[in-house]
Amino acid sequence: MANEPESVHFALKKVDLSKQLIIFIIVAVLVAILFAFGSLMAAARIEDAGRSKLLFMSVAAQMAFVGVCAALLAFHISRMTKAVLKAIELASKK
Amino acid sequence: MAISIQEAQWVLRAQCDDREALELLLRSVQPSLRRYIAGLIGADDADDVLQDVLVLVSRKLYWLEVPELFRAWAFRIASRAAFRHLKTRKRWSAPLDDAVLDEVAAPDAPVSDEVLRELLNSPALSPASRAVFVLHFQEDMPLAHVAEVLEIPIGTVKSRLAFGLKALRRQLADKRSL
Repeated sequence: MANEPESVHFALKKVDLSKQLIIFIIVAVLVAILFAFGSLMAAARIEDAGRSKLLFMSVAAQMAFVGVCAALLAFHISRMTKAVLKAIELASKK
Repeated sequence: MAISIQEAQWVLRAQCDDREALELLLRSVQPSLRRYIAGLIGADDADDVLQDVLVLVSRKLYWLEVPELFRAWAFRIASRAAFRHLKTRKRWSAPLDDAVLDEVAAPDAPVSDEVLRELLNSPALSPASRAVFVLHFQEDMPLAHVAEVLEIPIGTVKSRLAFGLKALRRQLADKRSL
């Protein structure tokens, strides 16, 4: 089993790299979304016939975005809570 | 296929983004997975497939709901990767017909180590049967767990076991007649 540390090491390295890439992509997407919302709001400030529609659309998009983020966060927190409770249960079995 | 409490705790810690726990977990399961993969596809390509399996295990670990089922889950991922590798290499010696296998009776007597070693190294044995043999005899998994890992009915597991023994008997008979 001479190659045992290598395969684990390479796998972890690959996972770390993909994690970094995912974080970078998420940050880039978030920044792009913020800019998109900003430009939408800026466009909605200009007085014209479609202003109320644009304002409504930008507010709805922001609310949907915040809702999705909140749902993801709630899911993650509930998963972590479950994991912690399970770990406590396992520790008490020891 | 019970895993230790320690391993289950590593799973939970790794799910909470603990890198050290993930490393310990991968190191603990790596020898069994390598043995299993090498038994299925041969030692030459085992390390490449093993690395892919370890990466998949690390990436998908977050979604594992029951930490006690970690080993079965990891073996399932390894089985899929090994069979996918075999398909791409087109090394299936003979297509496995489940309907034919289901007609073969399950073995009653346990298999000796010597017979098992010979069977696992036999090229006449199909990858499907070899997977069952490695999991059942080498990794000491009950047949019900083997069925869960390979995602097949228990009847098919028994059939593949019987098919493997039949193949070995045929091979031994051929050797004796030579």
